[in-house]
Formats: sequence, structure tokens, C-alpha cells
Amino acid sequence: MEYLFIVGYAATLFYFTVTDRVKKYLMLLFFQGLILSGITFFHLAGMEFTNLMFILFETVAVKAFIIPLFLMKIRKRNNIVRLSEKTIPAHYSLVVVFVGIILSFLLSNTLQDLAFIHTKYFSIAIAAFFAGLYFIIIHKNVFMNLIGYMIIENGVFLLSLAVSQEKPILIDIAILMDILAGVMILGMFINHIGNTFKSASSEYLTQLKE
Amino acid sequence: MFLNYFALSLLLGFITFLSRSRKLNYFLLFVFLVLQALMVSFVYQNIGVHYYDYFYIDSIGVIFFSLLSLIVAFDFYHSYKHLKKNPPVDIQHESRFWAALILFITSIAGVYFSDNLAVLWVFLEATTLFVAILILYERNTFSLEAAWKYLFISSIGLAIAFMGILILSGLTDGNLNISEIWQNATTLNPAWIKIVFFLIVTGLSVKMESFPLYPVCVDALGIAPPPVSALMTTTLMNAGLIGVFRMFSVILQTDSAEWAKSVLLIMGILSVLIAAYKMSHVRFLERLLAFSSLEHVGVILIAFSLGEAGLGIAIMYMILHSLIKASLFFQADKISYIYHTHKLRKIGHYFGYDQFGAIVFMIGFLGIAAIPPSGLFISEYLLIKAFIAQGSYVVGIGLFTLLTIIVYFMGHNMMHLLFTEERECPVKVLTKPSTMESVMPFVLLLIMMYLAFLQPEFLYNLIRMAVPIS
Repeated sequence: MEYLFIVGYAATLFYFTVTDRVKKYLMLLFFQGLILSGITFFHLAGMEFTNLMFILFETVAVKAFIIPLFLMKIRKRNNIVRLSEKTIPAHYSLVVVFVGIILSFLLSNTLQDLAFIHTKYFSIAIAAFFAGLYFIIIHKNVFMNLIGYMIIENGVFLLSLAVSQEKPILIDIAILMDILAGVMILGMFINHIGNTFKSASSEYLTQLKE
Repeated sequence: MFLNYFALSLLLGFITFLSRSRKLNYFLLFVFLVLQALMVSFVYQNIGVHYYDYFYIDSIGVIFFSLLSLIVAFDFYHSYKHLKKNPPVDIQHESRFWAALILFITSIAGVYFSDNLAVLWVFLEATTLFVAILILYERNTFSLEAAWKYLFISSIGLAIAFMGILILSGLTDGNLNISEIWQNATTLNPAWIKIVFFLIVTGLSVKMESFPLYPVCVDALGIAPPPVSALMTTTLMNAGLIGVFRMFSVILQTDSAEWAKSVLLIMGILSVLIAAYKMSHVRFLERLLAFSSLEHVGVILIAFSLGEAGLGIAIMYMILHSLIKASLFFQADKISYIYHTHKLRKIGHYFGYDQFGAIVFMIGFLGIAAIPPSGLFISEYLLIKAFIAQGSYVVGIGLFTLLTIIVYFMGHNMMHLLFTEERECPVKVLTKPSTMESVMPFVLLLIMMYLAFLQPEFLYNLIRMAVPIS
């Protein structure tokens, strides 16, 4: 079952590179949140009940609903519908992400002898991190940059499953609050940028140089 | 007292945020300063005490918390003056500024005393959120761009650092307490500890203002209100460096120590090299000071790379640099206000307009350029001597050459600013300078000289205690 989730998660990474409708990006973030909650449920079933409930809340409520809905609100406010300003064509991006995922799996394959790491999650976590970075690089829109940041954050969450070490719940809450506040403030900045420049394109953010 | 400090600071920040009265804001700021002073006294008396496995009062935390409290006292005055000169839109705007400043300072204090890497990360992330609000104070397109870039790249940088922390938790069976990891460092997997160190150092470079994530810091320092820049480039930079210092202390106990030293040496040299290049064509006063910070953090990382021999030099260097750089940013705020511009080519003959301010600025320049009688000169001399002594002639001579180039470019701009006429369409009507605004930067420079030349015993002992002995 876990492998099914991992394959599903990898599919969302591919789909991020080929689509150009903003609604679909948000839908993909919603799916990623659901997949993460599924992985958490199966992988951490033996964990202390309160910690498990908290992580399930984090994935289902925060990652699958709160953040995508918040981003949807920003999208509507700034009237961001479809983006055609990718710097690299979708079919090239598909190849790049495919190669990235294959390399991540090959890298993880070399780590089989390490007891502390679950390689199946580690490989997809690394792939998600690089896919997020790549997504940020190829888009010239601050809203898309925020979506790329969320892909990276989901990758970091997968990495935490890969090393699978329980942290005190207080620290988990603090980390979640920080990330949530970060996304909210980044979202508010996008509104600010939209109001100021009448566009969310990052091309307007190039005034600071020597 | 320890946890009360954080609870009370949070409360003060929250009340300030809601406040709609200027007098109440000033009262709350005064209370916060008293709280800082009480906390300094408390931490001095409680070195070596742990709090709830998450915090530890060690000598390095005490040194930099005391420095933070000192700079904050000066910073509040200059922020007050800055807000007088650049009035906020309304009282809500002003309250938000003060609230963000209080919470920013509290988050930095949290970083200094964190004994748990996850807690340290949480506080560092909090500094990002509050400092972004402070950078945006002017609410123009430049501040919006600088704040967005800082917030976004910092978040990415800290996500990278967090990946390192997660892998470390796997290596240590979930234990992220630095003092405990330090004791068991020799058992860590040497290959993985390298990856952890690399991820953490790369991520924290956005807080240290060093290579590779320095550009967003330079943009932010050039645009933020100078009293905010003064805090960012001193206390926040120190917070990033302390994060690296703690991780470096761990890796020094392992077989990967030499590798880690090389990483810091490369980062340090690249930082100094980029600063030297960028200073050759810098156009704005605050950006000049920002690139100077890049140079100094490079020197500090190079000092770290010497291992135990260089850590003492690095800590002293961080203290002196903080005092001088804060003084220069406070003075830069005054200069920009007098000339109504930050552009170096439009600022000139400062000696003619404001003699006391010009003298303070010149002493600051001598200090930051590490020209005797600057305290930084002794640290840089010891550093280059250490490299020569261990046979690293290329590093020693290369560093000396780069520092000389930087002194030339910095001196070129500073001498124009102080003594020659404006090089580009001078501003017709200059604002009358206020002597009082140069007194505080001067006091900071006096403290720097006192610490550098008289080296009080308490400071010497604290630095000695801060250097980990394996």
C-alpha cells in the first residue's frame, strides 16, 4: 500500500510540470496532502496516539485543506488563472523531473545498508525537494514560487518520515506553526505585490541591483 | 526567570501590536529594555543551567545575549529617531513596527540559548517572519521586493537546514540536544554527518549573510530602515554563526573535522572574494556596509576553519564587528537623512557639514577596515599569522591581499564621502545634522576600543569557556 502512495506522489510531481492551470496546481497540493496522510497512517501506526493524531491533523487539515484553500483565496484575489510564462517548455521539464526521480531512486538504492533511514521515503523526499526547486526556477510568478515552496515543504515532511524519529509534540507544534505562519505571511506578501504592481509576476521584482 | 523572559516578551510584543497609543508603545519598549537588563543579570549568574532539555545557558549564549541587549538599547533610540524622520502611515503601522522589533529580538535571544536544534530552527524561522515585516516598513516597491526576496529565500534556506536537522535526528535516534550530541559525536556516521553539516551550513548562510545565500541579505540591508539593518547584520548574523558554531563543535569531535574545516574555509574565502569584487562598483552607502558584512563573516568563517585555535579569535571578532557595524549603520541613517539620498556619488564633504558625525564615521571606518587602532586589526593579524605558522601560505597571503583590496575600495568611498565634493549633482538643501545622533554610535565605538585593548577578565573567561575542548 505504501508503494502505491509513493507512486501516486511521484505522479503528482510529474503533473506539476505539465499543467499550467493554477487551479490544478492547488488540486495537486490537496492530493499531496491526502497522500501524505495515507503514508503517515500506514507508516506511523505504532506511534504514540497523540503524536499520530497530531501528524494526521497536520497532513489532512493543514496540508490538504487549510493551505490549498488559503492559496485559492489568494489566487482569486489576484485573479491568477492560467500561467504561460514558464521559461522552459513542459516536455523538457517532464524529462528533467523524470531524470530527477530516477536519480533519487538510484541514490537511495545505495543507502540500503543504513538502519536509520527508510529508503523508499528518502528517495521520493529528495525527488520532491528537487522538483520543488526546479518548479521555482522555471516560473516567473511569485504565486508559483509559493507553490514550489509548498512542494519543497511536503518533500521535507517525507524526509521526516524517512528518518522516522519521534520528536516531542511541543516541537512538532512549533514547527507546524512556523511553517503555517510562513505560508500565511508569504501569501499576504503576494497580495501586497498584486496590489502594488497589478500583477504577481516576479519580473517586477528586479529593481534592487548595483 | 528564564521562561518568564520569553513569555513576558511575547506578551509585550502582543500588547504593542494591539496598542493605539504612542505613549503606551514607549512605555512597553522601556519595560522590554528593563526585562533585557534583568535577563542579562540572570544569565550571568546561571551559566551551565539547562531548562526543559530545550535551552542551555552557556558562555557563548551569555556573551551574545549581553551584546544583543546592549545594541538593542541603542537601536531603540535610533529606531525612534528614524520613525520621527520617516513617519509611519498611522499609529497601527508604528505599533506593528515596534511589536515586530520586540518579537524579532526575542527570537534572536531564543536562538542564542537553544540547546535543541529543532528549537533553534523554530526561533530562526521566527526571526525571518518578523524581520520581513520590519524590512517592509517604508512600504514602497523597493522594500516590498527586498522583504519578499528575504522572506522567500530565507524560508528555502531554512528548509534546507531543516533537512540536515532531520537527518541528524535519524543519526542520533531522535536526540537533537546539542550538548548530548557533542558528548557522543564520535559515534556518528562520518559520511552522514558531512551531509548534515553541509545542509545546515548552506541553509544558515542566509542568516549569517555569507556565501551562497548572501544576495537577499545585501538587498534587505540596503533597503530596511538602518536601525533594523544594524540589528540584522550584527545580532542576527551572530545567531546564524552561533548555529554553525554549535554544529561545528560537534563535527570537530569526529573524523570529519578536517573536511568541515575545508568547507568553512572555502565558504569564507568565497565570501571575502565576492565582497572584494562587489565593493569595486557599489553605489549605495548601506549596500557598501552590507558587503563589508559579507567580508567580515567570511573572515569569521575562515577563523572557524582553524578549529579550536581560531574559535576564540572568531568570537572576539564577532563581538567587535557587531559594535562597529551597528555604530556605522546608525551613523549611515543620519547621513542619508542629511543628504536625502543613499547614493554614494551624491554624498560628499561630510566633514564640512557635521564635524562630530564625520569624526565618528571616520573612527567607524578605521574600525571596520581593521586599521590600527581597530580591535579587528589584532584579530586579523592573529588569523593571518596562524595560517602562515601552519604552512598555509596561499591562504594567509591570499586573505591579506583580498583584505587590502577591500580596504582600498572601502577607503576610496569613505574618503570621498568625508572630504571631497559630491561627485554627482549635489543635493541643494541639506538637513541640519543633530549632534546627539552621533553620540550613541560614538559610545559603541568607545566600548569596542575598551573591549579590544583592555580585554576585561570576565570577557576573556567567557570566551575561554565558550571554546570547546575535545
